[in-house]
Amino acid sequence: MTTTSAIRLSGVNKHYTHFQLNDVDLRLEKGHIMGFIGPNGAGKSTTMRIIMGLIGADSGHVEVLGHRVPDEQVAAKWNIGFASEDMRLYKAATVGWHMNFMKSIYPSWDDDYALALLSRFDIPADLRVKGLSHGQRVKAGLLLALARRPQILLLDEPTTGLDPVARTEVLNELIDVVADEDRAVLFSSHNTRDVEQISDQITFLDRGRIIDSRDKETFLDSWRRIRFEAPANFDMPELANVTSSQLNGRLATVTTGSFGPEITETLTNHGAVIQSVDNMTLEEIFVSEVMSSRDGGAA
Amino acid sequence: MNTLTDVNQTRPAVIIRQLVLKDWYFVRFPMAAYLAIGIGAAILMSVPHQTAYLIGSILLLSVVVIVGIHLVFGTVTHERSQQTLPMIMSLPITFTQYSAAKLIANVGGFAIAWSVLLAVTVALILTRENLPLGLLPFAVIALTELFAAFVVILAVAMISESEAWTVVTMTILNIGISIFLNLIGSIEAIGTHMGGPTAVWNGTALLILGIEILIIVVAIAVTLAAQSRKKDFI
Repeated sequence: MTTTSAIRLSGVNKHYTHFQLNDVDLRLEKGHIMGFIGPNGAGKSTTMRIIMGLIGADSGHVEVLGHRVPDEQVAAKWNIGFASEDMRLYKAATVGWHMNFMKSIYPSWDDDYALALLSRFDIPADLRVKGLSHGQRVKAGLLLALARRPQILLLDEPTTGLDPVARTEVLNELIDVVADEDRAVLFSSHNTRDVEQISDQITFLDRGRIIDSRDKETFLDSWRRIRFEAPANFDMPELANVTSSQLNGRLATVTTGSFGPEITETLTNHGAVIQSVDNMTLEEIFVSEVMSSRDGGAA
Repeated sequence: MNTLTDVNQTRPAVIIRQLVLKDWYFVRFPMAAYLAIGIGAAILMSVPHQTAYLIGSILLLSVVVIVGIHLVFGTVTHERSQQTLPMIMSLPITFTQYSAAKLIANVGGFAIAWSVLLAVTVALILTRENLPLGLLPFAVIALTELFAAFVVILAVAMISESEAWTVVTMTILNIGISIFLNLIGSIEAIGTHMGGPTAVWNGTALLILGIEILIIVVAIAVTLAAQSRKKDFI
């Protein structure tokens, strides 16, 4: 029996005058949260809009829950909850009006869950959207996406501009969502801490290209920063899979994305005195990946 | 057995109806106010005084024009500029269905206001002695021209997705109203009967009316065709 991926992109291209999405391959299975990380202008929003059918790819294949997008976007969109940083609610209407509007469209709308979220997110249902704070507006948008109980959540920078408490509320809710194994979340952000907190898969995007995509534990386990003291006239040996190396006087740093004991052994054999082998945060890994990608490989 | 997906796929009509009701909800108060002003203007037209008639007719034409402007900006242009379009387009609809909903909301909304104003105008011409019956064809042509201009402005707003082009089209067509009315009045087959005791629906009047209706139909068809070919919606 074959299982259908939640989201599958292959060879997706989109060309704009000043930006190009290049040959994007992406696969997200049900029951997972994928963090989609990239600097501003990397192509995260463009990719998500293509998945939603809001913009059409120039070439490539997009499939959501087995439905081809954009041709079968209607069938796909019944099962997608979408919230994005640049998506606004109607200022003149109340949150309650928005809830009723969504309820009139989605038979899957869950009233009890919507009311629970309203209380949990501390959003007044009878207040017009223009009277809400930024955080309340963002959370109201998420409520509308969540309460229809979609199989896939596409969240484009959902935590941008939120205070730490609101961010935690939102992230906790997302963790609850994927407790249901049939659901999946694609979550874009340039805040790596948020992504690190909730995602089990990570995809890095830069300048319209996916530069790496793996499960989070593999990412964190495979990256190391090695600090060592180099002997006089130290000649840096050839090291496989090293993304950057710096020699500053006698102190040197090597960063690698596929750490193994052979790296420290090679350095020690060349007279280096290892001072520390440190784990890296997702943010440090991301920066290393981006810099390495922009340099065209290892420094 | 019907799956949820099967049920969902039968719901585009429900969604289109909800989108139309949504647009009308946001313009309900100004539309009611314009309707009241329009009826007031029509009553003013019936006062047996040339100045009152002139003020009433200018006010009536202005209200119809403003209704159109408010509808197009309130439901089409602002949806894009205020970034509510991504939320709507994330609903399970195609862009053609979205466009159909916009056309129904706008043309329908305008038609309601327009029909009331047309009915009041016709009723006044038929019942008030100071208004000659010969004015009827001219009045119908003038109000239908406003309808055609509104649909063209709506089409430009939806197809171009540009506030600037919408304003340019609106300005040109609205400035053109007085020129058009003068032009129609100066046509002998129309102008000579305007002050007469009977409404003369001659070939010229019917031809002009037919062209106006054709413009409305073509503008709607072109809008739907253009929207269905678009690949990028936001």
